[in-house]
Amino acid sequence: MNTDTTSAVELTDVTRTFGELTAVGAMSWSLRRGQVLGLLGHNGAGKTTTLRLINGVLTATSGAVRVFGLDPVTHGPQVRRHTGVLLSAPPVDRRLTGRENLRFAGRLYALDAAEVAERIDELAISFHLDDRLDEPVERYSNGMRQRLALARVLLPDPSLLLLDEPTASLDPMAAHGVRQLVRDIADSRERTVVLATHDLIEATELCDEVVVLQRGQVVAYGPPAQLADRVSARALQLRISDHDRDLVSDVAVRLGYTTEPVDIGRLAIHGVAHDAVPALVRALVDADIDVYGITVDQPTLTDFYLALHRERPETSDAVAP
Amino acid sequence: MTARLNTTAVLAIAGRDLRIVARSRAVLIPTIAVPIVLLLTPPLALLAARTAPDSLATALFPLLTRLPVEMLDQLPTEPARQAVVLLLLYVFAPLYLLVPVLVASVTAADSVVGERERGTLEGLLDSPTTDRELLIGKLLAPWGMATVVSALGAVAYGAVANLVLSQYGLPRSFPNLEWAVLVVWVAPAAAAIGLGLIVAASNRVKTFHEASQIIGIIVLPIVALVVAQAAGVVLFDVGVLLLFGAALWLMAVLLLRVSARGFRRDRLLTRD
Repeated sequence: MNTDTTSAVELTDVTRTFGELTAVGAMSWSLRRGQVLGLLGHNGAGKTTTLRLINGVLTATSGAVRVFGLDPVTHGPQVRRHTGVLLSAPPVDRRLTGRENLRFAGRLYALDAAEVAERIDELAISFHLDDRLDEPVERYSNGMRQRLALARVLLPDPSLLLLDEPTASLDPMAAHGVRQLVRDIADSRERTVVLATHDLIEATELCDEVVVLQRGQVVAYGPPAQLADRVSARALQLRISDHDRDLVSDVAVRLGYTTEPVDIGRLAIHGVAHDAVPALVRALVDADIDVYGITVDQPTLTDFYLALHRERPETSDAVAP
Repeated sequence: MTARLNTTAVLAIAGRDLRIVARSRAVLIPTIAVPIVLLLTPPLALLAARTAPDSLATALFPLLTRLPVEMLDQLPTEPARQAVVLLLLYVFAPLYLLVPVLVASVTAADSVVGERERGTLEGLLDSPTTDRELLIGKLLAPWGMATVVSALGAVAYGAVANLVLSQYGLPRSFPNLEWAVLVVWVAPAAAAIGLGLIVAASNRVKTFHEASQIIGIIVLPIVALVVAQAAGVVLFDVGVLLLFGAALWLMAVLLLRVSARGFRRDRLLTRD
């Protein structure tokens, strides 16, 4: 399979229904090789279904999915040979040892046994599992199981990683460890990654592109910073003379904003859209107000996500099987 | 054109499932206990019945009256001894078929349904195996295990049966052709039927225990065969066994083909 095509993953008008439920509706986006794409959305928004469609374990009801130029349904084994999937619940067998789980994965991918043995040792050291690798997995903590699952995913050296809320079921410490591993993988840009997550800070830090899903529909798509820029500034903080406070409030109210005293010589103006900031500053200057300092609280992906969900309130989404 | 089977992956799945079964008490205990109870208890009971031989003859009277003359000629003349030979060689034979069916069903239930219950199914589905390789790998371990356990059970049964025969002053008759056909031809087919039913049931059940309950459906016809043998309605001679085995194989193939249609990634994953 040629994994050198520019587009690693491409979805065109992809729909998947389960009876009456549309888990994914007319979804389109593409991801370049070496990039990280975040799938954001509530439970049942269609994130897991999307990952399963990409890996060919689910078939699209309509539309086209291409992974490195191949249809994952008709070329399932070829596509899956180059993908690694990490789920929130690690699919490692508790009755087997860590090493047996990894060896099994190696055989499923038809890897050379000697090569697998060597790679297992490397991964065990990288993921701090080397001293427990020959113990049954039932004795592992949740964090260790997830690290083992990640080692299992990386064993065949996949070109495309599909990560489905990999830290969702972990305690904060274990989640931090796994998040760091995921961050290292994403930062290296050696692999293409699709990351389904609830963690908006993680998505901001790791992802080149973000797809926000709501009831299976793409409601926003783009780089995190660009999406965040669409949101009104949370607040503009001005350093002014106290005797100008009323004057500033008058200007702000005239332009449709609200003000709030923060401290002596400080005033916050709320509700200023990002692209309206220059006009506000000009209005203040025109009103002969001495502005000693101005801080624009930069909107984040979290602000965008919250704003989006305020605009499009959703009840709890139905969860696809 | 059908793609070439990746035997490495198939054997990996089968080998892993065998390893898991070997570490599961819920599966291993019935796998060992069933052959012991089913195969060794009846002949050992005959040893205990030596003190009341006439009751044996009375119980098997319906069968004795239906036997062909040429077969009767091969039996000892004394009714109690006739009964012992008939029981060991014929009447217990259908009981033996419970072993491959039960072992195959219990291990297949763990392998197919238990995989989903343990949350490891999706890891397999995400691998580069095809649906066909997955199904064959999943069935190979239970079928192989059932066949091996059944063969070992037959050897143990033969040893105990020979002991019983000698205790009644009769010649040792095991192994004989009927039992050889039973072990080599009929038992593997019975195991395949068990697998087919579990795969079919896996479309509807969620847990290993629910799947195990399906096994009752398979056991009932076999118990009916035991009763039919004792009543003289059916007699397992070589010809009947060959035909019976062929019928079971046919049923097993049809059942597996139908069940395999539901064994697709998309359906396995979206099943409630």
